[in-house]
Amino acid sequence: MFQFAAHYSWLIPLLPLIACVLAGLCMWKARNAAHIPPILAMIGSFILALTLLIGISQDPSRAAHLQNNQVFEWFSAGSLHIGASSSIDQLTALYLTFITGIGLLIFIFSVGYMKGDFGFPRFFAYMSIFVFFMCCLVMGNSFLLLYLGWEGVGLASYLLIGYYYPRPAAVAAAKKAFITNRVGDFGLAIGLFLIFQTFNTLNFTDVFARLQDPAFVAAHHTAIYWIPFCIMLGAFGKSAQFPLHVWLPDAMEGPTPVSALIHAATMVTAGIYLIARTMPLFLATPGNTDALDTVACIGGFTSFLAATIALCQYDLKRIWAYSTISQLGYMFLALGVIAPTSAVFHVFTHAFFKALLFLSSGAVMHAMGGELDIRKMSGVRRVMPITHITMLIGCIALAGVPFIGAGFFSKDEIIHAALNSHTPVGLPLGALALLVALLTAFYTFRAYFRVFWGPLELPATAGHHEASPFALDAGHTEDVHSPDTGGIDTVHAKQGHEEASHGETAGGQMVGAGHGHDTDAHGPNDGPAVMWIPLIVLAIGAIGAGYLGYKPAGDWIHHFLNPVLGGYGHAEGATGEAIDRVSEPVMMALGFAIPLIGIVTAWFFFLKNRHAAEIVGANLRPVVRFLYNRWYIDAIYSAAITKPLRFFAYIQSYVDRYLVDGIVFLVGFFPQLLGYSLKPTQRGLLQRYAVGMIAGMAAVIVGILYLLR
Amino acid sequence: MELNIVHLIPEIILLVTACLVCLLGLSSSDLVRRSCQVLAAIACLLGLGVTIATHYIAVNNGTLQSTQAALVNFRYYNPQFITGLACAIGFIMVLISWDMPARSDPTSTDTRYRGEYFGMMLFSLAGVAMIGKVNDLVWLFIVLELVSIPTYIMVATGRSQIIAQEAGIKYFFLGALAAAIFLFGFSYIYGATGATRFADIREALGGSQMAALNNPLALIGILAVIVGVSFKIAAVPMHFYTPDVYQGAATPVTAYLAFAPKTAGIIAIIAMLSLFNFNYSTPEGYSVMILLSVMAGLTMTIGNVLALLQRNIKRTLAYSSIAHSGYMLVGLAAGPGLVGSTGEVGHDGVLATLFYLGSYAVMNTGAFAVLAYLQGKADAGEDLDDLAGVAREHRGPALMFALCLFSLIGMPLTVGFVGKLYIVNTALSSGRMALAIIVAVNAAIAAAYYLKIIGSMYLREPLYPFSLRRTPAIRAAAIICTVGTIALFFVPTILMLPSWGYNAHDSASAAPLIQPQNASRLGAVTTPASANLRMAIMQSAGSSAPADGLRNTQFVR
Repeated sequence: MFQFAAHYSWLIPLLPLIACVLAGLCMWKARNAAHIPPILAMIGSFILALTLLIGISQDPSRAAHLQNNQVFEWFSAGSLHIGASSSIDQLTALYLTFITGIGLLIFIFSVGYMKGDFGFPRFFAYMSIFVFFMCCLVMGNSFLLLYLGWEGVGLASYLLIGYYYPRPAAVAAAKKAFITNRVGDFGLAIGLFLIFQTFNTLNFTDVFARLQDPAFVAAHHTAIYWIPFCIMLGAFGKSAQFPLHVWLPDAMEGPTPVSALIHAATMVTAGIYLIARTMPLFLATPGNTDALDTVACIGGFTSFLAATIALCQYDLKRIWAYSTISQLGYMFLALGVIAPTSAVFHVFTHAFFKALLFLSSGAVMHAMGGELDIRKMSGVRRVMPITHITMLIGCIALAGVPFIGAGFFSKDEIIHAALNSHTPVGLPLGALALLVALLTAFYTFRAYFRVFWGPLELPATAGHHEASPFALDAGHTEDVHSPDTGGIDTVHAKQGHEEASHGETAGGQMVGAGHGHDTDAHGPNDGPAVMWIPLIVLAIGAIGAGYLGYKPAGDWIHHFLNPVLGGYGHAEGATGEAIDRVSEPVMMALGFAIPLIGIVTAWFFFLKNRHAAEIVGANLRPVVRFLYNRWYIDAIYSAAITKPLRFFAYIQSYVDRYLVDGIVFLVGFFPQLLGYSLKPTQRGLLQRYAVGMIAGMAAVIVGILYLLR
Repeated sequence: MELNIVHLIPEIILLVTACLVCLLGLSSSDLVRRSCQVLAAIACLLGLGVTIATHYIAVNNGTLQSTQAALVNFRYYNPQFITGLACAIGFIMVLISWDMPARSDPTSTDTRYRGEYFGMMLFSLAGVAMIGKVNDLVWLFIVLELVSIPTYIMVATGRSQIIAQEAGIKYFFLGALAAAIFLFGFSYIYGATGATRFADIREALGGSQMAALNNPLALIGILAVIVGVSFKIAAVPMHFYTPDVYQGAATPVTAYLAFAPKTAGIIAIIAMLSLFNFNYSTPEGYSVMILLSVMAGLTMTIGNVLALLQRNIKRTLAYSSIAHSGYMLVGLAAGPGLVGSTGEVGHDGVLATLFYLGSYAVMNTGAFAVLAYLQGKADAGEDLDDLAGVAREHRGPALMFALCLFSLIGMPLTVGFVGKLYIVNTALSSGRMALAIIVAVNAAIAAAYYLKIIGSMYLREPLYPFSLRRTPAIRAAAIICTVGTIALFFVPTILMLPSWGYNAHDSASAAPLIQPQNASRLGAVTTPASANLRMAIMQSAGSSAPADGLRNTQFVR
């Protein structure tokens, strides 16, 4: 079985690619069957990836045989030979497993979520190509293949974020994501050029082998010093770290499954993979941890920044988006303090609970007709019992509730590693991370208590399909015929009528909020089985994934990843004695206390006494506004970068329109002018023509005589 | 070197059929009259078959060199190429003319003048087929008139509209004037050398290998012939008639005018230049080169800038025909290149011109074929507005028209690109930098009016419903030409047939003209990706030709 999977490992990316083409072809004949090829492909890829993972786990030496397997030579130019070759080790196998596994669950969820949408085949085609590029990214054995996947992931995210392209916000978000990523990609590209110039190869194995030679490192110390910074820029772009984090919250303009895919399985985890993979480059110069310290600082700061912003957001998905940025900050912090295993462990657990949170939010959004403002809903647990449970599990995992949430294990490990780090930045950043853990628990349960507890209160749009800009589902949505149950909120009902009169709601039918007795087939509910079954699977993962790294339970993940990532910490630790600033029991106690404090605080303000929250908010209005406006970072970018560029472009457009075009028109005018001046020679008179011919002959004779004079 | 009667079989077929068709056209039976064009088409195909067959028989027998006629004294271009081209394009012309002569009444099935029309066309085609084989001034004159005089009749009777008659009269009078001028030139040449046979004239000008122009009388004669014959190719200063006649004639006749007299004229000019072996090094020879260069520059510029202002498509294509003559003259002004060098097509101006002639025949005939197809039976609809939005309903014809026009622009993936590439390359390799620049500028100007037609077809709304002339024969002609336009980009060697006979000056001492490995290499060039690659292959093929025994003429300018 393992041999089979190893031999056909190239099918892992290929299957989604084929599925992409097939789903696209469904556009013509079988619109509603477009999900079948991608899901089958994902199942196939997942089985192969899981087989590889288990096989390598059983016998780590097997990974050695999976290095640099060339399927075919892609191209070669001079000394650069690029094959379509894969290298699969523990890191890649783990990544492949959760990319395809969680991807598969998201695909299944999407079948229910995207049902009846105009772009159904297009959606699945894009999703498949997304997975294809992500697999390329983690499977490639050279920087160039990684870059191929890297750019491809950027493209796929652009297509998916802008999926609702008639909606200007979606288009703007797609452009923002793409352009912000370009900034990072630029850094990565420069890094690649430097690597090729320095090492004359782009193959991971060859590059890392050269680094073993101290003489070589000394000879190229400048390039080797700067290469990590370039790579880091790429990772920050893709993984949404400050200052390139601004695209991720806007990326939720895509359909919710896209957000889940971007935040959990693909895209943002690529940055962690990149740095984990190229760790030798970061540690190339002994004693020099400048690059890693930068990574740790940026990661720590970003996690704090995003957590504070998440405190004051009202959009459910936006809260989870900032929490992703914050959690990614943790991962970079772990990388920066040379604990890559912990970082990857957190990627792994985070993939489960973030996918769970997004898909649950998607279910809420689906039921509420596209509304996600937590101020407009309350007590939703009564109409969506399953979603409530899954969302609770996701929140527990994110907050890091001891022994239940997966985040508890991985997050505490990172904080512990930071606090006990050799690097100078470790201790302060570890302390900051503790604070962030508190904030995380607080904002997570703030959203949870606001939405799912308290008196039942639903937005007017509840029960409708999310207003698709393609507006094709007006006639055949199954939910719209719910009778108006009177509504609990006349204001909302009135709003709903207004919306209906504007033709924004499907079929012009008004649906008020379901009142509890109306929770089965109509109105807001948990949705079809294809939607809640993936949620349950993810919920199990969100609880169970953490135990893979639990020491009494065997600590599988560390044993598994150590052959690849375990060596770095030791190499650095050899220079000094082990530090034990914060012992494990103390850390355990902190890990117990902090999430619980956060949760209790959230419970007090957002369930027990919601009025108190408003009072606190009113008293801290400037802070709230500062956080609500996301530290004004977007505004600063707009004023400092976008506006000057736009102004410059404006000037350029005038130069182009009047100067350049003017010259072009002038040039084009000359032939016409010449033509007009010659037109009198063509009056159609036979005699004139004859005279012209004779004159021409005469001119020839005269001219020749002149030449020969 | 002497022609065998065998090599005139295609012409004989065409002439006999012409007579037959003229007779059949007198028949009282409509059915018999209708068989005229079928016979004409068969004659053309037969002629083409015989041409190819004799060529291959000669190749197989190894007697090709002995059967070559001297198109150019010191270099051998296979005149059978022109015969084959005349028969092949002639066949397409017959297809385009299937409904001819056009009547203003679209429902009319009048076939009374059909015999005359196709008879005249075949006579003229016979002249074109023969033009490459003449070796005497008298013959040259007769053949030139054989090409032209039937076309006067075709212009006047091809269409029952007054502008056709006007065009016919204009064409006839101006053609007579042009004939007078080049006949005048012939008399000067005869007066200077005392001979009419080309070989004797060369002897008189310094010997067949050393011929050079240093006799003022002969110079005047050759100048007059070139200027006079420039009427046939519609070049400055004899270009004035072109738009009026092209516009006035029925579209199939216009297509024919753009091919037959032009081919004959270019070959006649090559024959004149070969009288002094393209030796541009003497002052007199140099002045001929200057004349050709100036004519080329003026012809393309005047043709293109005037075409810019036209709204009538036939008139536009008439000016474009003038411009393309200018491009062809560039190759002649460049000359065949250094004699010592190998004669690859990219550096041999005469070969480049012959190639351009063939490619222009294919793409321009294609354009006229589509135009004829798009016009109603009444021969209306030749204005730019008439073609507005044609692509909406008639995608096939519009696409074919667009492809032929792209080829006339010289876009890659069409044969027009290869032709322009060779022309510019010969201009550069012979040091005529200015001409190369003028060609490039003119190509840019030309793109404007061709694109205007394409834009009208594709970007505008139809002004009124469009009725096609649903004649399968015209459609077939358009398809053949369009496919040829694309295919010849990939397999241009077909149009390099004139170089098959290329070799040293003395056929008796020369190695076999088609060496087996040469033939296989030429045949193998079927899948090149780019023209550059192809040129490289051609060069390597040409380089295996023996370079001994060549004249040591220095082309100083």
